[in-house]
Amino acid sequence: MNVKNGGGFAIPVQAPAPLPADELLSLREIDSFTEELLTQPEVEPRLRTICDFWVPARADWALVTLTEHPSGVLKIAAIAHRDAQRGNALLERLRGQPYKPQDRLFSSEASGEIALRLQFGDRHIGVLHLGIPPAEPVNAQLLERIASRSAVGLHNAQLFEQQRKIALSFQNAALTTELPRIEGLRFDAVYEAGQAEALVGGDWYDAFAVADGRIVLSVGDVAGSGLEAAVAMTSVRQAIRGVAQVHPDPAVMLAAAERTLRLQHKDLLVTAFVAVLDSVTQECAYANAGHPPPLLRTEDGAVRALRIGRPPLGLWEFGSRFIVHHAHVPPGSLLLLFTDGLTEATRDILEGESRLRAALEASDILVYDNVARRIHEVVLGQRSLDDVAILSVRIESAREVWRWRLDPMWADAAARVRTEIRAILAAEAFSAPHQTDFEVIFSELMSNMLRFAPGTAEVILEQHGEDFVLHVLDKGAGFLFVPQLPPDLFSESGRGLFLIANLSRDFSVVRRPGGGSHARVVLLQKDGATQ
Amino acid sequence: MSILDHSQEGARIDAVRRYDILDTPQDGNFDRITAFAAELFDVPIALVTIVDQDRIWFKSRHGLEEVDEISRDPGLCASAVLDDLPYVVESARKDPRTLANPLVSGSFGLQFYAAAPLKTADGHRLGTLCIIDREPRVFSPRQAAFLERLAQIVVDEMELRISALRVIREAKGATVSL
Repeated sequence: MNVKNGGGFAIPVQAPAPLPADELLSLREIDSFTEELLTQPEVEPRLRTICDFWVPARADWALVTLTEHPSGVLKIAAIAHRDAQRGNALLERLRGQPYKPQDRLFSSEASGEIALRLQFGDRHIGVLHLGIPPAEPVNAQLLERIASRSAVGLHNAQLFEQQRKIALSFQNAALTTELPRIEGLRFDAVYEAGQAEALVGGDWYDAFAVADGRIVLSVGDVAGSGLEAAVAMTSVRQAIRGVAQVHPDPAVMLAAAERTLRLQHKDLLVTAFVAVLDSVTQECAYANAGHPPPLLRTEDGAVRALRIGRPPLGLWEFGSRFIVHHAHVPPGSLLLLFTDGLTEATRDILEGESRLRAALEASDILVYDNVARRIHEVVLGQRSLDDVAILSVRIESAREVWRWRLDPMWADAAARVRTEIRAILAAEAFSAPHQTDFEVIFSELMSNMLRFAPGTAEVILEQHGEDFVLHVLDKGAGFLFVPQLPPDLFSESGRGLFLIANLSRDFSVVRRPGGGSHARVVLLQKDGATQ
Repeated sequence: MSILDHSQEGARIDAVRRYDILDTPQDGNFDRITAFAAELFDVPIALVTIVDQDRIWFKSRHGLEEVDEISRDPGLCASAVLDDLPYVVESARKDPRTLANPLVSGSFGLQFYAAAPLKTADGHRLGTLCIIDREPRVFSPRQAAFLERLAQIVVDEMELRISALRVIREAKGATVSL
């Protein structure tokens, strides 16, 4: 056959000569060995493949040691013997023990020993020791080729496991969450990294309290896997946490997450759900960006999804806003947040969803303290292939609080409430200056009520560990809090609320779903400092 | 809270009869007062009640369409007419005076009650002007004083009404006898 090149010269090409039979066999053997080796990405299965190639077909025994870096010590990683039981027993006893090439584990055997260095470039991977029966010499070329492929295979597997370990520890560190301890609420959570995926994914859950005692819940899923997904997940989760401390509004938190994603991880898509739970009013405000809607089980056993439609983060349209919805969560309610790994394990979403619903509707679900774990067990069993994050919140009992309903228009009614609260604070050893702070705060709140929200108000005093939170709820037109100083410092409208903000540890006013406002003031206590 | 004095109660029932008001139709003047009371105190229900021998009958019932009389169980209106001072129950489920009353313990769900007795010039307490809510509330002395003033207006209305009735009856009687 002749091949013309551009210049018109013909280059003779010789057809390859047929290979000798034994060489052909060797190539086939090497090929199938390599294919087998690549089936699993981890070290342990590859060691097994290597041993299985030699023992018992071509060798009496095989022993693989791997170099421990950086010490350089060789440690036993795999042992196989013609007598399988003996091989396993030895491995169990000696795995991880140092073994030098001079050591002769099988010195009593009749076989001749070969030791092959497993080397990848200038990296010493380990040593392959083989016991070859004297009557069956082994093809040197085969030996060398298998050894070199073994070295490459083991090197890659080690790299893979190292990467995975880094991503996992990173993710574990990022996800370590101590669930809040709040009277009347019970939390449980499960996180499992996927097994089918080569590397860890980007699922997360989070639950924490903010200064005024509200609880923020979040759950989400960064598309993709590996370290990049894990890092993006942490960024988004932290953005939500950060904003929550200043403004625990679900729409604002999702907007912050969206912004973080656009700035730092432009090409990733994230689904996220954020909720703010108020155990005093038993209300839950939430917003969703493309994430599977959480399920709410009410006391009567009915289960419904907290559904609203918004696209995932990363598909942000300029100027679009997340909408906040509300759900009532009285004692006896159970909220379940999760990622799609829970419902898509069998790849049949409808089947997964109905399994989940059934598990949640079951009347015995309330018996379990660890609801998230129970759900995981019932819905997935052993079948978890993808990442799964599950967070459950059970509202067990109403918060014990001091509560007054009054019309601030009647000054003596307001005065009485103020006196009663003052007595409670005094009994709790509030210092005199901080009691005065309370007096001012209360007066300002009542004045604002009179001006902007006439009618009945609800005043609640709540104890949170060491903190006291004063709530004032009204039904009226409501007033908006402007956190910065008004242009006229002595103007009636802005000054009062500015005062409150400066005399307290934390102050916020939010619109209530049914109309009116809810003001929350975290009172300064024994040694609190102003902001 | 004073105990039911049977001789006093007898005189009181006579006074109730004299005002000729039980089982009469709804009257705009009284309804205006209960509406005003409900608005002023921001409560859903305000009533003008007349305490009869074995029942409590509502002359005006703002916010309560279904019922126009109830039995005379202890607590609430039945107790309110036993004293001249306003009768206030801020949290009915916790108050020993009222927690057994069916309106409190039952499905009606009464949790707040404040009443000023309707006191005639000769000192008889015919019934109450009362306000009701289904959630507890704080009720101050000033608020109670206002309620008393409104109750006085109700009594004035009743006096005017009974005087007018007498005049009409006398005129009729004169006509008939002619």
